[in-house]
Amino acid sequence: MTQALEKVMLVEDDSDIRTVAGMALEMVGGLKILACESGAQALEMVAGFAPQLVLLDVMMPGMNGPEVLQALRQRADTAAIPVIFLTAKVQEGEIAKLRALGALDVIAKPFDPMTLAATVRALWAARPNP
Amino acid sequence: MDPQTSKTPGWLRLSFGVKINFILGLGLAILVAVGSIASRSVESLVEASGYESASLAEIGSLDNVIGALRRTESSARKYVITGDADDLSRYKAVRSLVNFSASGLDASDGDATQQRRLNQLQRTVTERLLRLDELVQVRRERGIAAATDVVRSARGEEINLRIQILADQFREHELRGLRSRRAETAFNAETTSFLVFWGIAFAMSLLVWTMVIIHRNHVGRQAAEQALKASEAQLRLITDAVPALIAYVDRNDRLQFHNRAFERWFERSVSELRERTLRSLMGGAIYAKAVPYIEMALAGQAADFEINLGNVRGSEMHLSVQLVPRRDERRAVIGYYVLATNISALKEVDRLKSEFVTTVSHELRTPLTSIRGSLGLVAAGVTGVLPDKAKELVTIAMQNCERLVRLVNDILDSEKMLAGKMELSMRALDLVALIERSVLENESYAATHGVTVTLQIGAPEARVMADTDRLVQVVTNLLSNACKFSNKGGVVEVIVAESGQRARVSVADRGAGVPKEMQGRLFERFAQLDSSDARRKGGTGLGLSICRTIIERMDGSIGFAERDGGGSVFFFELPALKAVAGHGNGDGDGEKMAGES
Repeated sequence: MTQALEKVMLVEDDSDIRTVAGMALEMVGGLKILACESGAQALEMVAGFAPQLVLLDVMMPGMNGPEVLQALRQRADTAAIPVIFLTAKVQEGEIAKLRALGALDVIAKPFDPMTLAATVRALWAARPNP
Repeated sequence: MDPQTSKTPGWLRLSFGVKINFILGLGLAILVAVGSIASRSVESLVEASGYESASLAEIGSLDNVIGALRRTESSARKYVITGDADDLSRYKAVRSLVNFSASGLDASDGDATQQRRLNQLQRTVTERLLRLDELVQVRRERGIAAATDVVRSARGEEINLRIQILADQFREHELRGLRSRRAETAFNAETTSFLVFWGIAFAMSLLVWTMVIIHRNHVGRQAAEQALKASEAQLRLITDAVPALIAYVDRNDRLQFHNRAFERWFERSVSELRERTLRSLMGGAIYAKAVPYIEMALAGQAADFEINLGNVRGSEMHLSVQLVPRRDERRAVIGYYVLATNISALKEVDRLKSEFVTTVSHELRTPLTSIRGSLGLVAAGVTGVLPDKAKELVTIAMQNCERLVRLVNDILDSEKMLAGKMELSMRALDLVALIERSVLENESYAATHGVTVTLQIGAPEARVMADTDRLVQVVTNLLSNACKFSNKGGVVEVIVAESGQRARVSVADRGAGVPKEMQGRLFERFAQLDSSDARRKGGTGLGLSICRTIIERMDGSIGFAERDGGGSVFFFELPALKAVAGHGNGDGDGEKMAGES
């Protein structure tokens, strides 16, 4: 039986979005969230939190989303964690590029806070090789 | 029609060459005719002259015979009187001359009557000679008295008279013939003279006319050449003033004309560019990119394309190139004109604009995410129950936030479409399933306007080749428009039908309809029914334009019609796919479809 999604790491440099997304996932979706403000912080805390899924912003200062994804994939303990990108760049070509990097999917900003958790859960459930 | 041309006789409108050939041919024919007549006239004169000579010779011969006969008679009479042997000998000598002369008489032109007369004359002369011989013999044998008796018998005079009559008849006949011939010859000579004179006069007229035509043609050509030179100079001035590269290239790829900008770009002189091939100027690799368009132009079709072109200094410019075929009088393509405009700056502006739009839209999305998210959570009561007034205000803020999100999305889409960068993921799909899903997703939006959406399926198995997300975008746009512009409590009808080879989706409302003046530009960018009303309804003016681009990219068409009883019907049609084999309920990836390309 597939394990239910409970723990999600949210990586987002914009504090407002981080707050809104965190509240949407926690209060609407009932998920346990660890919110990080940068890629470096996420890589530092990922092992301790052991998330089932990472919701990762694309454009961030320092390490951007794709670089964080690459770093996660290079670590044995995090290589298998599914990653969903959050991005304001919604051109088809950009979304296709992000998917090609190995992301589970891409959620476009602005998202609907009331359906965000459900969307994440649906993508989690539909992930390959659960 | 040119009035001047319409008044000119047809033959005068013939070309210069045809006119000249016609006139020269006519002149030649006249000269040949005149020559022929003159030749025949000369032959006739020569013939008449010969006839006259022969005739006069015959008369002369006859006179000789008559003269010789008289001398013979005189000799015979002298011998009768003298009885001298010498006179006898002289008689014999003269007599032999008569025989000789008489035997030579012959009608010169084979006239039978004259010949008969001559024959009779010869016989009579012979008879007269025999009488003289008889007289001489009587004188020698019987003496002068017997001879005198013979003379007195006057038999000889009677023969002489006959000879004289025959000779006169012969002579008269010949002279009459001569007079007739002379009259005929004189007439022929006059006629020939007349014909030669007028023939030459006419030929001279033609010659003068030809010279006039040649002169006029020469003058006209000089004027045309001057006009052409002036026109060329003007054209040169204009083309040299144009910053675009202008050239004319013949079928052999050789440069036959170019402007100053062309020279400047390639940094070559006129002599260096003359007859150069375009391939050698552009370089093989760049030229290869232009070859399909050049072939199109040489096939008679105008061609437009863009290309990056470098010069010897390594500079590069982005060119928008138009090729226009040039045809000769027989409509055969003999080359093509090149108009190449440097659009590097435009391209850069375009790139900057796209970058700006993308950046701005991204930068707008980031705060919008926070605003929309916060308002959504507050409105949903996640953070606690709101007072009614506060909830109303938050709802207003949320609706305007949604509008701003749509505006950003539409601007991005529109920009992408303008740049030709919209990518479609085409696949065979179940149209009814897609419409049902779209209607379901828009039901809550319809409810906010107090509108009900109904679905009529007239073609349950309709399948089309389309991009799912983009087609949903179109249906959502049409549905949201219909809901927005419907009255509260109204019904929006969505109908899926199939007609021939096309599937049709219609979205009908009972709203106020589209004003006549707007109907022609409904699908243009930023076309709004009424700016104030549109703002109230939350439109961006880009939605229908985007819908049209999406549908047309899918080989479909989109349109609008007024609805009987009020309201509007917006519809789109897409080529319907017919399943070769049965198909399942889901999208038809990998399914073999008829009509797929």
